[in-house]
Amino acid sequence: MGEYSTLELTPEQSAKTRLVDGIATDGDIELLGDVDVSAAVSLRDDLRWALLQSDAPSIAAQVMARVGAVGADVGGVVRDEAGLEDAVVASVMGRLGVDEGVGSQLRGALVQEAGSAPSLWAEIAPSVGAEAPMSLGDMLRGAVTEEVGNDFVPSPWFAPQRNRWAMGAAAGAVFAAAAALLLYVGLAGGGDQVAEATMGPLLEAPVDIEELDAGDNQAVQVLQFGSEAPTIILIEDIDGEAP
Amino acid sequence: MAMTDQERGSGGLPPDDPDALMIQAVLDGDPEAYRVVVERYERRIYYVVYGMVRNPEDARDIAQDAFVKAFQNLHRFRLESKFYTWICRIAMNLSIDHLRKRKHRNHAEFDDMRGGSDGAQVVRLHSKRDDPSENVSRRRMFKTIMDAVDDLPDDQRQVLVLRELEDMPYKEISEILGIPEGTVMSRLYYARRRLQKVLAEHRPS
Repeated sequence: MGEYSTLELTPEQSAKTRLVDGIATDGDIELLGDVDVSAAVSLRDDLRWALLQSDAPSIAAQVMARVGAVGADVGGVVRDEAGLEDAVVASVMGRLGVDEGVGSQLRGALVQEAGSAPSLWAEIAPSVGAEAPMSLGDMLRGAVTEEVGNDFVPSPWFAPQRNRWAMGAAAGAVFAAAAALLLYVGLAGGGDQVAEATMGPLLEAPVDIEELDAGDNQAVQVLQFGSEAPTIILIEDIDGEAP
Repeated sequence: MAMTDQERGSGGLPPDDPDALMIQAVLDGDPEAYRVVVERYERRIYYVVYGMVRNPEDARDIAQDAFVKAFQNLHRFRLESKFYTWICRIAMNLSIDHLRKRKHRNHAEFDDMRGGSDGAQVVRLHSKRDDPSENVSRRRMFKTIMDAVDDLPDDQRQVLVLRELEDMPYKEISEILGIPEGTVMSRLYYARRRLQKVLAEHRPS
């Protein structure tokens, strides 16, 4: 394809080509006279019809996932970045006094139900004054370390002390991310209990959890992690239980 | 991620070009803006690629590859240019690469079959196409047209697809394919003449 064919057209052939394409000049029309191009025009219609027989699939989601702009597997990111392997999860949960099964449920719920979710981090980071290049894993590690305080002795999976310059912001970012994730996932069938049971002990910082009356079809919880952290509102639609 | 105009070789944003605005946003660090561009052109690119490769799955994959490749090279895109022309060129190049590989494969299959085969196996190479239309006569027409398009040289098929499917001006086709406008017209003329001849032969008397 590097070379192109050099077949030159006669003036009549060029004029006819332009006429078929509907861009004939006065000179073309004068040159061609009463030439009939209806067959060529008909061919154009048939060809277009034939080429459009296949339904065009939407590829935007796949493209965006491949370029890494969206479709981030949030559950996977949290797990991979924080190194949440089974043994580690068991160790951490045991240390925090949380039933391993509950932790597994939450992790399973995140992995299974989060699936492809819009990327939250890029939007959250600037709003809390954090730097986007800092990975979510680093933020998570730093935030957990900060929030649980001195009573908690980090396990080896907590990497060596990271930058502590923005731990407060990190905490806010991670909890906002967690809340947004939970809102997105819309944990079904007891997922809110899993979240409360798991996140509450994990934080150990002052946490106010308040249930709001939101009618029969919704469960609303308001979580406040200290005065500096953002307020998190969990809303769950209760489907299929109403008569 | 943000780049200066000098770095990207641009003289600045062309006014009222929604593509340029979106691409500038991507270059400034908002990759999600690329979705707008993809959604704007995905159907057109798919059909262009389909016109070249004639296989829905291959067309979908190649169209995806084209958008991904464009994203990865977005910093090289000149904002004063038309994005569609650029993505179309990428898609065409990928289509041609694909056709070359497919030809190599088909030649290999052909040679394998020739070793101990009868003619029937060879015929199958040319008959495994998807025919979406259920109407028999239209299906026959569809097959005849597309087989004729298949038989065109790749360079003529490129021009034909861009012109007939996209209604693209000669100048834009010449920019996409990197050939003079006269060559565009020439290829178009001979492609049409060839198709007309084939279809005339198949037309019921």
